[in-house]
Amino acid sequence: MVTLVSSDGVSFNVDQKVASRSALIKNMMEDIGEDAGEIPVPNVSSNVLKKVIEYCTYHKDDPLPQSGEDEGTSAADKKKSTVIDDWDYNFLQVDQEMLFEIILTANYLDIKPLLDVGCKTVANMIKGKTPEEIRRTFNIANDFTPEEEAQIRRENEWAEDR
Amino acid sequence: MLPPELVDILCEHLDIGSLVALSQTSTSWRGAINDTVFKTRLTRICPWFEPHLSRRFSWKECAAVYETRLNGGRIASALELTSCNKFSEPLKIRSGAEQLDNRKLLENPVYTSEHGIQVDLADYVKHLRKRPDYERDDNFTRIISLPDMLIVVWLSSTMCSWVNLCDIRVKMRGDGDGDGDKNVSLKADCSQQLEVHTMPWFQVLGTHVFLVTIEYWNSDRDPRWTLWYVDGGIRKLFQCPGERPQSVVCYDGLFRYFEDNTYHVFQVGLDGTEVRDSTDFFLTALHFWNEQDEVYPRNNYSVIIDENDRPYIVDYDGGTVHSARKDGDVYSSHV
Repeated sequence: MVTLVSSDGVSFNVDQKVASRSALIKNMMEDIGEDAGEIPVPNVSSNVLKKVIEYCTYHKDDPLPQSGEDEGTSAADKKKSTVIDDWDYNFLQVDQEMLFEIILTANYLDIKPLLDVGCKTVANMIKGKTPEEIRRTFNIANDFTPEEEAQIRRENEWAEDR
Repeated sequence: MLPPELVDILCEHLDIGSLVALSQTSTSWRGAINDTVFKTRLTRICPWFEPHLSRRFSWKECAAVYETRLNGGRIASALELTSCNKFSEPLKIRSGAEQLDNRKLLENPVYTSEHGIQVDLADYVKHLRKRPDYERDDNFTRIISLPDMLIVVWLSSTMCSWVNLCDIRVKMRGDGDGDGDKNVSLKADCSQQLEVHTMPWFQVLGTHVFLVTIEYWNSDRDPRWTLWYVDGGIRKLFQCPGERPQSVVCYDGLFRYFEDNTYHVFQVGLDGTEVRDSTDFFLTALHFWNEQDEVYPRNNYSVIIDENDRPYIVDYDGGTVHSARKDGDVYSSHV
Protein backbone atom coordinates (compact mmCIF):
# COMPACT_ATOMS: atom_id res chain seq x y z
CA MET A 1 0.00 0.00 0.00
CA VAL A 2 1.04 3.55 -0.67
CA THR A 3 -0.55 6.79 0.45
CA LEU A 4 -1.16 9.60 -2.05
CA VAL A 5 -1.83 13.04 -0.63
CA SER A 6 -3.73 15.56 -2.72
CA SER A 7 -3.01 19.30 -2.86
CA ASP A 8 -5.84 19.95 -0.39
CA GLY A 9 -4.37 17.44 2.08
CA VAL A 10 -6.65 14.44 1.56
CA SER A 11 -4.91 11.05 1.85
CA PHE A 12 -5.76 8.08 -0.36
CA ASN A 13 -4.51 4.59 0.46
CA VAL A 14 -3.82 2.89 -2.82
CA ASP A 15 -2.56 -0.54 -3.84
CA GLN A 16 0.96 -0.37 -5.29
CA LYS A 17 -0.25 -2.01 -8.45
CA VAL A 18 -2.89 0.71 -8.87
CA ALA A 19 -0.43 3.51 -8.10
CA SER A 20 2.13 2.20 -10.58
CA ARG A 21 -0.29 2.94 -13.44
CA SER A 22 1.33 6.34 -13.06
CA ALA A 23 4.81 6.14 -14.49
CA LEU A 24 5.81 9.07 -12.28
CA ILE A 25 4.72 7.37 -9.05
CA LYS A 26 6.07 4.01 -10.22
CA ASN A 27 9.52 5.56 -10.66
CA MET A 28 9.25 7.31 -7.29
CA MET A 29 8.35 4.04 -5.57
CA GLU A 30 11.25 2.31 -7.25
CA ASP A 31 13.61 5.06 -6.14
CA ILE A 32 12.39 5.23 -2.55
CA GLY A 33 11.91 1.48 -2.11
CA GLU A 34 9.20 -0.54 -0.38
CA ASP A 35 8.51 1.93 2.41
CA ALA A 36 7.31 4.65 0.14
CA GLY A 37 5.00 5.95 2.84
CA GLU A 38 3.26 9.17 1.84
CA ILE A 39 3.63 10.55 -1.65
CA PRO A 40 2.42 14.13 -2.05
CA VAL A 41 0.67 14.93 -5.30
CA PRO A 42 0.72 18.73 -5.43
CA ASN A 43 -1.37 20.56 -8.05
CA VAL A 44 -4.00 17.80 -7.98
CA SER A 45 -7.05 18.37 -5.83
CA SER A 46 -8.78 15.53 -4.01
CA ASN A 47 -11.85 15.35 -6.26
CA VAL A 48 -9.65 14.97 -9.35
CA LEU A 49 -7.20 12.58 -7.68
CA LYS A 50 -10.15 10.42 -6.58
CA LYS A 51 -11.32 10.17 -10.20
CA VAL A 52 -7.85 9.34 -11.46
CA ILE A 53 -7.44 6.62 -8.81
CA GLU A 54 -10.80 5.21 -9.91
CA TYR A 55 -9.42 4.94 -13.45
CA CYS A 56 -6.17 3.34 -12.30
CA THR A 57 -8.06 0.83 -10.14
CA TYR A 58 -10.27 -0.27 -13.02
CA HIS A 59 -7.27 -0.58 -15.37
CA LYS A 60 -4.79 -2.02 -12.84
CA ASP A 61 -4.41 -5.31 -14.76
CA ASP A 62 -4.04 -3.82 -18.24
CA PRO A 63 -0.72 -4.47 -19.95
CA LEU A 64 1.53 -1.47 -19.43
CA PRO A 65 2.06 0.65 -22.53
CA GLN A 66 5.44 0.04 -24.10
CA SER A 67 7.80 2.87 -23.40
CA GLY A 68 9.82 4.18 -26.28
CA GLU A 69 7.51 2.80 -28.94
CA ASP A 70 8.51 4.08 -32.31
CA GLU A 71 6.42 6.42 -34.36
CA GLY A 72 5.25 3.84 -36.86
CA THR A 73 3.49 1.60 -34.35
CA SER A 74 1.94 4.44 -32.42
CA ALA A 75 0.50 5.89 -35.63
CA ALA A 76 -0.99 2.49 -36.45
CA ASP A 77 -2.36 2.18 -32.91
CA LYS A 78 -3.98 5.56 -33.19
CA LYS A 79 -5.69 4.54 -36.36
CA LYS A 80 -7.28 1.44 -34.96
CA SER A 81 -8.18 2.98 -31.62
CA THR A 82 -10.43 5.85 -32.63
CA VAL A 83 -13.15 4.21 -30.54
CA ILE A 84 -13.26 4.67 -26.79
CA ASP A 85 -14.29 1.64 -24.76
CA ASP A 86 -17.57 1.83 -22.84
CA TRP A 87 -16.17 2.03 -19.35
CA ASP A 88 -13.74 4.82 -20.29
CA TYR A 89 -16.49 6.63 -22.16
CA ASN A 90 -18.79 6.61 -19.13
CA PHE A 91 -15.91 7.45 -16.82
CA LEU A 92 -15.23 10.60 -18.82
CA GLN A 93 -18.85 11.79 -18.86
CA VAL A 94 -17.94 14.63 -16.51
CA ASP A 95 -18.16 18.38 -16.76
CA GLN A 96 -15.61 20.06 -18.95
CA GLU A 97 -13.55 21.51 -16.16
CA MET A 98 -13.15 18.04 -14.64
CA LEU A 99 -12.29 16.55 -18.05
CA PHE A 100 -9.48 19.06 -18.56
CA GLU A 101 -8.27 18.54 -14.95
CA ILE A 102 -8.15 14.78 -15.59
CA ILE A 103 -6.12 15.32 -18.77
CA LEU A 104 -3.69 17.65 -17.01
CA THR A 105 -3.30 15.20 -14.14
CA ALA A 106 -2.80 12.25 -16.49
CA ASN A 107 -0.07 14.28 -18.15
CA TYR A 108 1.53 15.26 -14.84
CA LEU A 109 1.38 11.75 -13.36
CA ASP A 110 2.36 10.25 -16.72
CA ILE A 111 -0.60 7.91 -17.20
CA LYS A 112 -0.42 7.58 -20.98
CA PRO A 113 -3.64 5.65 -21.72
CA LEU A 114 -5.71 8.08 -19.64
CA LEU A 115 -4.06 11.06 -21.30
CA ASP A 116 -4.82 9.54 -24.66
CA VAL A 117 -8.43 8.69 -23.99
CA GLY A 118 -8.96 12.14 -22.45
CA CYS A 119 -7.59 13.90 -25.53
CA LYS A 120 -9.67 11.60 -27.71
CA THR A 121 -12.80 12.60 -25.79
CA VAL A 122 -12.01 16.29 -26.31
CA ALA A 123 -11.30 15.59 -30.00
CA ASN A 124 -14.70 13.93 -30.35
CA MET A 125 -16.33 17.05 -28.90
CA ILE A 126 -14.63 19.11 -31.64
CA LYS A 127 -15.04 16.86 -34.68
CA GLY A 128 -17.55 17.94 -37.29
CA LYS A 129 -18.30 21.26 -35.58
CA THR A 130 -18.08 24.76 -37.00
CA PRO A 131 -15.80 27.26 -35.25
CA GLU A 132 -18.87 28.89 -33.68
CA GLU A 133 -20.11 25.54 -32.33
CA ILE A 134 -16.66 24.78 -30.91
CA ARG A 135 -16.62 28.18 -29.18
CA ARG A 136 -19.99 27.44 -27.59
CA THR A 137 -18.91 23.95 -26.50
CA PHE A 138 -15.73 25.13 -24.81
CA ASN A 139 -16.70 28.68 -23.86
CA ILE A 140 -14.07 30.19 -26.09
CA ALA A 141 -14.31 33.94 -26.64
CA ASN A 142 -13.95 35.14 -30.21
CA ASP A 143 -11.15 37.68 -29.85
CA PHE A 144 -10.10 38.02 -33.49
CA THR A 145 -9.04 41.31 -34.95
CA PRO A 146 -10.76 42.46 -38.17
CA GLU A 147 -7.59 41.47 -40.07
CA GLU A 148 -7.75 37.94 -38.68
CA GLU A 149 -11.46 37.76 -39.49
CA ALA A 150 -10.65 38.67 -43.09
CA GLN A 151 -7.92 36.00 -43.18
CA ILE A 152 -10.38 33.40 -41.94
CA ARG A 153 -12.94 34.37 -44.58
CA ARG A 154 -10.25 33.76 -47.20
CA GLU A 155 -9.40 30.41 -45.64
CA ASN A 156 -12.99 29.34 -45.95
CA GLU A 157 -12.91 29.97 -49.67
CA TRP A 158 -10.42 27.08 -50.04
CA ALA A 159 -13.29 24.76 -49.30
CA GLU A 160 -14.86 25.93 -52.55
CA ASP A 161 -11.74 25.03 -54.50
CA ARG A 162 -12.51 22.86 -57.48
CA MET B 1 -6.30 26.41 -23.13
CA LEU B 2 -4.16 23.28 -22.78
CA PRO B 3 -0.36 23.39 -22.46
CA PRO B 4 1.42 23.05 -25.83
CA GLU B 5 2.44 19.40 -25.41
CA LEU B 6 -1.19 18.46 -24.80
CA VAL B 7 -2.36 20.51 -27.77
CA ASP B 8 -0.04 18.35 -29.90
CA ILE B 9 -1.62 15.16 -28.57
CA LEU B 10 -5.11 16.55 -29.11
CA CYS B 11 -4.23 17.55 -32.69
CA GLU B 12 -3.16 13.96 -33.42
CA HIS B 13 -6.75 12.90 -32.81
CA LEU B 14 -8.30 15.51 -35.09
CA ASP B 15 -8.86 15.39 -38.83
CA ILE B 16 -7.63 18.28 -40.97
CA GLY B 17 -11.09 19.85 -41.27
CA SER B 18 -11.51 19.94 -37.48
CA LEU B 19 -8.02 21.40 -37.08
CA VAL B 20 -8.93 24.21 -39.46
CA ALA B 21 -12.19 24.86 -37.58
CA LEU B 22 -10.41 24.88 -34.19
CA SER B 23 -7.79 27.29 -35.52
CA GLN B 24 -10.64 29.64 -36.43
CA THR B 25 -12.10 29.90 -32.92
CA SER B 26 -9.75 32.32 -31.13
CA THR B 27 -6.37 34.01 -31.29
CA SER B 28 -4.77 31.56 -28.88
CA TRP B 29 -6.02 28.48 -30.77
CA ARG B 30 -4.95 30.12 -34.00
CA GLY B 31 -1.47 30.51 -32.54
CA ALA B 32 -1.39 26.95 -31.19
CA ILE B 33 -2.49 25.32 -34.44
CA ASN B 34 0.04 26.96 -36.68
CA ASP B 35 1.29 26.02 -40.12
CA THR B 36 3.78 23.52 -38.68
CA VAL B 37 0.89 21.40 -37.39
CA PHE B 38 -0.53 21.18 -40.91
CA LYS B 39 2.89 20.60 -42.41
CA THR B 40 3.53 17.68 -40.06
CA ARG B 41 0.14 16.21 -40.87
CA LEU B 42 0.28 16.59 -44.64
CA THR B 43 3.92 15.48 -44.89
CA ARG B 44 2.87 12.13 -43.52
CA ILE B 45 0.25 11.48 -46.19
CA CYS B 46 1.11 13.69 -49.14
CA PRO B 47 4.64 15.12 -48.76
CA TRP B 48 4.76 16.40 -52.35
CA PHE B 49 1.86 18.81 -51.76
CA GLU B 50 4.20 21.57 -50.63
CA PRO B 51 3.08 25.19 -50.88
CA HIS B 52 5.94 26.11 -53.24
CA LEU B 53 5.14 23.12 -55.47
CA SER B 54 1.54 24.19 -55.82
CA ARG B 55 -0.52 27.30 -56.19
CA ARG B 56 -1.16 27.49 -52.44
CA PHE B 57 0.25 29.94 -49.92
CA SER B 58 0.51 27.81 -46.78
CA TRP B 59 0.61 24.22 -45.57
CA LYS B 60 -2.73 24.89 -43.97
CA GLU B 61 -4.23 25.71 -47.34
CA CYS B 62 -2.62 22.64 -48.94
CA ALA B 63 -3.98 20.42 -46.17
CA ALA B 64 -7.46 21.94 -46.38
CA VAL B 65 -7.55 21.55 -50.15
CA TYR B 66 -6.27 17.96 -49.87
CA GLU B 67 -9.11 17.08 -47.54
CA THR B 68 -11.73 18.95 -49.58
CA ARG B 69 -10.77 16.87 -52.60
CA LEU B 70 -11.21 13.68 -50.60
CA ASN B 71 -14.72 14.76 -49.79
CA GLY B 72 -15.78 14.81 -53.41
CA GLY B 73 -16.13 17.37 -56.12
CA ARG B 74 -14.41 17.65 -59.46
CA ILE B 75 -10.65 17.81 -59.59
CA ALA B 76 -10.23 17.65 -63.38
CA SER B 77 -11.61 20.79 -64.95
CA ALA B 78 -11.65 21.00 -68.72
CA LEU B 79 -8.58 22.46 -70.39
CA GLU B 80 -9.04 25.23 -72.91
CA LEU B 81 -7.04 25.87 -76.04
CA THR B 82 -5.99 29.51 -76.21
CA SER B 83 -3.84 31.44 -78.61
CA CYS B 84 -2.60 34.11 -76.21
CA ASN B 85 1.13 34.59 -76.23
CA LYS B 86 1.67 33.67 -72.63
CA PHE B 87 4.94 31.86 -73.16
CA SER B 88 6.89 34.62 -74.84
CA GLU B 89 9.52 33.66 -72.29
CA PRO B 90 10.53 30.27 -73.64
CA LEU B 91 9.71 27.35 -71.36
CA LYS B 92 12.91 25.54 -70.71
CA ILE B 93 12.46 21.81 -70.46
CA ARG B 94 15.42 19.58 -69.92
CA SER B 95 14.91 16.19 -71.49
CA GLY B 96 17.03 13.10 -71.11
CA ALA B 97 18.61 12.11 -67.82
CA GLU B 98 22.26 11.48 -67.11
CA GLN B 99 23.54 8.01 -68.02
CA LEU B 100 26.13 5.81 -66.36
CA ASP B 101 29.59 5.95 -67.86
CA ASN B 102 30.37 2.28 -68.43
CA ARG B 103 34.05 2.76 -69.16
CA LYS B 104 34.65 4.57 -65.87
CA LEU B 105 32.63 2.03 -63.90
CA LEU B 106 34.64 -0.87 -65.29
CA GLU B 107 37.66 0.78 -63.71
CA ASN B 108 35.95 1.73 -60.46
CA PRO B 109 32.46 0.41 -59.62
CA VAL B 110 31.81 3.17 -57.07
CA TYR B 111 29.80 5.98 -58.61
CA THR B 112 29.97 9.41 -56.99
CA SER B 113 27.16 11.85 -57.73
CA GLU B 114 27.66 15.55 -58.36
CA HIS B 115 26.40 16.07 -54.79
CA GLY B 116 28.98 13.68 -53.37
CA ILE B 117 26.75 10.69 -52.65
CA GLN B 118 28.47 7.40 -53.40
CA VAL B 119 26.97 4.11 -54.43
CA ASP B 120 28.71 0.82 -55.10
CA LEU B 121 27.51 -0.50 -58.45
CA ALA B 122 29.41 -3.80 -58.41
CA ASP B 123 26.21 -5.64 -59.40
CA TYR B 124 25.84 -3.49 -62.44
CA VAL B 125 29.48 -3.93 -63.40
CA LYS B 126 29.17 -7.71 -63.03
CA HIS B 127 26.21 -7.56 -65.39
CA LEU B 128 28.19 -5.34 -67.72
CA ARG B 129 31.11 -7.77 -67.91
CA LYS B 130 28.77 -10.60 -68.85
CA ARG B 131 27.32 -8.59 -71.72
CA PRO B 132 30.06 -6.82 -73.67
CA ASP B 133 27.54 -5.58 -76.23
CA TYR B 134 25.61 -3.87 -73.44
CA GLU B 135 28.08 -1.07 -73.56
CA ARG B 136 26.68 0.03 -76.86
CA ASP B 137 23.19 0.52 -75.43
CA ASP B 138 23.03 4.04 -74.26
CA ASN B 139 19.42 4.16 -73.13
CA PHE B 140 19.50 1.47 -70.50
CA THR B 141 20.67 3.41 -67.49
CA ARG B 142 19.41 6.47 -65.64
CA ILE B 143 20.82 8.60 -62.87
CA ILE B 144 18.70 10.94 -60.79
CA SER B 145 20.93 13.01 -58.59
CA LEU B 146 19.45 15.21 -55.87
CA PRO B 147 21.25 16.94 -53.01
CA ASP B 148 20.17 14.28 -50.49
CA MET B 149 19.31 11.32 -52.67
CA LEU B 150 20.87 9.42 -55.52
CA ILE B 151 18.91 6.99 -57.66
CA VAL B 152 20.53 4.73 -60.22
CA VAL B 153 18.45 2.56 -62.51
CA TRP B 154 19.52 0.01 -65.07
CA LEU B 155 17.67 -2.39 -67.29
CA SER B 156 18.68 -5.90 -68.08
CA SER B 157 16.78 -7.96 -70.58
CA THR B 158 15.54 -11.45 -69.90
CA MET B 159 15.00 -14.41 -72.19
CA CYS B 160 11.65 -12.97 -73.16
CA SER B 161 12.14 -9.91 -75.31
CA TRP B 162 9.07 -8.19 -73.84
CA VAL B 163 10.21 -8.45 -70.28
CA ASN B 164 13.06 -6.46 -68.83
CA LEU B 165 14.35 -6.41 -65.32
CA CYS B 166 14.80 -3.00 -63.87
CA ASP B 167 17.26 -2.63 -61.00
CA ILE B 168 16.76 0.42 -58.84
CA ARG B 169 19.31 1.57 -56.31
CA VAL B 170 18.42 4.38 -53.92
CA LYS B 171 21.03 5.95 -51.72
CA MET B 172 20.19 8.61 -49.17
CA ARG B 173 22.71 11.02 -47.77
CA GLY B 174 23.82 9.81 -44.34
CA ASP B 175 23.48 6.14 -45.24
CA GLY B 176 26.17 3.86 -44.02
CA ASP B 177 28.57 6.44 -42.63
CA GLY B 178 27.30 6.00 -39.08
CA ASP B 179 27.53 9.59 -37.98
CA GLY B 180 24.72 10.80 -40.21
CA ASP B 181 21.52 12.36 -39.00
CA LYS B 182 19.44 9.73 -37.21
CA ASN B 183 16.34 10.37 -39.26
CA VAL B 184 18.18 10.05 -42.52
CA SER B 185 20.07 6.90 -41.64
CA LEU B 186 16.80 5.24 -40.68
CA LYS B 187 16.00 5.21 -44.36
CA ALA B 188 18.10 2.28 -45.44
CA ASP B 189 19.93 2.15 -48.70
CA CYS B 190 17.39 0.50 -50.92
CA SER B 191 17.69 -1.83 -53.82
CA GLN B 192 14.78 -3.27 -55.73
CA GLN B 193 14.20 -5.20 -58.92
CA LEU B 194 11.02 -4.76 -60.94
CA GLU B 195 9.74 -6.48 -64.06
CA VAL B 196 9.08 -3.87 -66.69
CA HIS B 197 8.34 -3.58 -70.36
CA THR B 198 10.55 -0.60 -71.03
CA MET B 199 12.86 1.87 -69.32
CA PRO B 200 10.94 3.59 -66.50
CA TRP B 201 10.81 7.36 -66.49
CA PHE B 202 11.15 9.84 -63.70
CA GLN B 203 9.37 12.92 -62.46
CA VAL B 204 11.33 15.16 -60.16
CA LEU B 205 9.35 17.72 -58.18
CA GLY B 206 11.44 19.67 -55.69
CA THR B 207 13.00 16.98 -53.52
CA HIS B 208 10.37 14.42 -54.53
CA VAL B 209 11.01 11.72 -57.08
CA PHE B 210 8.34 9.69 -58.82
CA LEU B 211 8.90 6.75 -61.07
CA VAL B 212 6.58 5.48 -63.78
CA THR B 213 6.98 1.88 -64.84
CA ILE B 214 5.14 0.09 -67.60
CA GLU B 215 4.66 -3.61 -67.12
CA TYR B 216 4.96 -6.09 -69.91
CA TRP B 217 1.70 -7.46 -71.26
CA ASN B 218 0.52 -10.27 -73.47
CA SER B 219 -2.73 -11.85 -74.57
CA ASP B 220 -3.50 -12.92 -70.99
CA ARG B 221 -2.45 -9.78 -69.35
CA ASP B 222 -3.69 -6.26 -69.99
CA PRO B 223 -1.15 -3.49 -70.11
CA ARG B 224 -0.86 -1.37 -67.02
CA TRP B 225 1.49 1.15 -65.57
CA THR B 226 2.50 1.99 -62.05
CA LEU B 227 3.47 5.17 -60.29
CA TRP B 228 6.06 4.87 -57.51
CA TYR B 229 7.31 7.30 -54.92
CA VAL B 230 11.00 7.09 -54.17
CA ASP B 231 11.96 8.37 -50.72
CA GLY B 232 14.65 6.06 -49.43
CA GLY B 233 12.33 3.19 -50.23
CA ILE B 234 10.26 2.60 -53.31
CA ARG B 235 6.56 2.82 -52.60
CA LYS B 236 3.77 1.93 -54.97
CA LEU B 237 1.34 4.83 -55.16
CA PHE B 238 -0.99 4.04 -57.94
CA GLN B 239 -1.67 1.49 -60.65
CA CYS B 240 -3.60 2.13 -63.83
CA PRO B 241 -4.72 0.21 -66.86
CA GLY B 242 -3.22 1.50 -70.10
CA GLU B 243 0.03 1.27 -71.98
CA ARG B 244 0.84 4.81 -72.86
CA PRO B 245 0.11 7.59 -70.39
CA GLN B 246 1.58 10.85 -71.59
CA SER B 247 3.06 13.65 -69.56
CA VAL B 248 2.53 12.25 -66.06
CA VAL B 249 3.26 15.23 -63.84
CA CYS B 250 2.70 16.06 -60.21
CA TYR B 251 1.74 19.60 -59.26
CA ASP B 252 -0.54 21.16 -56.65
CA GLY B 253 -0.86 17.79 -54.92
CA LEU B 254 -2.38 16.26 -58.05
CA PHE B 255 -1.07 13.83 -60.63
CA ARG B 256 -2.16 14.45 -64.19
CA TYR B 257 -1.68 12.58 -67.41
CA PHE B 258 -3.12 12.33 -70.87
CA GLU B 259 -4.15 9.24 -72.70
CA ASP B 260 -5.65 9.50 -76.18
CA ASN B 261 -8.62 11.85 -75.85
CA THR B 262 -8.83 11.90 -72.09
CA TYR B 263 -7.25 14.09 -69.45
CA HIS B 264 -6.88 12.29 -66.13
CA VAL B 265 -6.31 13.81 -62.70
CA PHE B 266 -5.82 11.99 -59.43
CA GLN B 267 -4.89 12.65 -55.86
CA VAL B 268 -3.29 9.87 -53.90
CA GLY B 269 -2.00 9.72 -50.34
CA LEU B 270 0.60 7.51 -48.72
CA ASP B 271 -2.23 6.28 -46.49
CA GLY B 272 -3.84 4.67 -49.55
CA THR B 273 -6.65 7.17 -50.05
CA GLU B 274 -7.24 8.00 -53.66
CA VAL B 275 -9.61 10.16 -55.67
CA ARG B 276 -9.62 10.38 -59.41
CA ASP B 277 -11.40 12.28 -62.09
CA SER B 278 -11.13 12.63 -65.83
CA THR B 279 -12.48 14.78 -68.59
CA ASP B 280 -12.55 14.75 -72.39
CA PHE B 281 -9.57 16.27 -74.11
CA PHE B 282 -9.78 17.89 -77.53
CA LEU B 283 -6.42 16.58 -78.74
CA THR B 284 -5.26 13.04 -79.25
CA ALA B 285 -2.24 12.81 -77.01
CA LEU B 286 0.44 10.65 -78.50
CA HIS B 287 3.06 8.93 -76.50
CA PHE B 288 6.76 8.62 -77.25
CA TRP B 289 8.58 6.03 -75.22
CA ASN B 290 11.85 7.83 -74.94
CA GLU B 291 10.81 11.43 -74.58
CA GLN B 292 9.38 11.17 -71.11
CA ASP B 293 12.26 12.11 -68.88
CA GLU B 294 11.43 15.75 -69.05
CA VAL B 295 12.16 18.04 -66.17
CA TYR B 296 9.77 20.94 -65.90
CA PRO B 297 10.67 24.04 -63.94
CA ARG B 298 7.90 23.64 -61.40
CA ASN B 299 5.48 21.20 -63.02
CA ASN B 300 2.80 23.86 -63.35
CA TYR B 301 3.45 23.37 -67.07
CA SER B 302 3.99 20.30 -69.14
CA VAL B 303 4.30 19.48 -72.79
CA ILE B 304 2.13 17.07 -74.72
CA ILE B 305 2.54 15.87 -78.26
CA ASP B 306 -0.52 15.33 -80.42
CA GLU B 307 -1.07 12.66 -83.08
CA ASN B 308 0.36 14.96 -85.73
CA ASP B 309 3.59 15.38 -83.80
CA ARG B 310 2.74 18.90 -82.77
CA PRO B 311 3.80 19.99 -79.26
CA TYR B 312 1.52 21.89 -76.92
CA ILE B 313 2.25 23.53 -73.59
CA VAL B 314 -0.33 22.84 -70.88
CA ASP B 315 -0.64 25.48 -68.16
CA TYR B 316 -2.22 23.81 -65.13
CA ASP B 317 -2.67 27.04 -63.16
CA GLY B 318 -4.58 28.69 -65.95
CA GLY B 319 -6.25 25.51 -67.20
CA THR B 320 -5.12 26.37 -70.72
CA VAL B 321 -3.36 24.67 -73.62
CA HIS B 322 -1.03 26.59 -75.92
CA SER B 323 0.29 25.58 -79.29
CA ALA B 324 4.09 25.41 -79.04
CA ARG B 325 7.27 24.92 -81.01
CA LYS B 326 10.46 23.24 -80.00
CA ASP B 327 13.99 24.52 -80.48
CA GLY B 328 16.47 22.12 -78.94
CA ASP B 329 15.32 21.56 -75.38
CA VAL B 330 13.27 24.73 -75.29
CA TYR B 331 9.58 25.02 -75.95
CA SER B 332 7.95 28.35 -76.63
CA SER B 333 4.57 29.70 -77.65
CA HIS B 334 3.77 29.24 -81.27
CA VAL B 335 1.97 32.41 -82.23
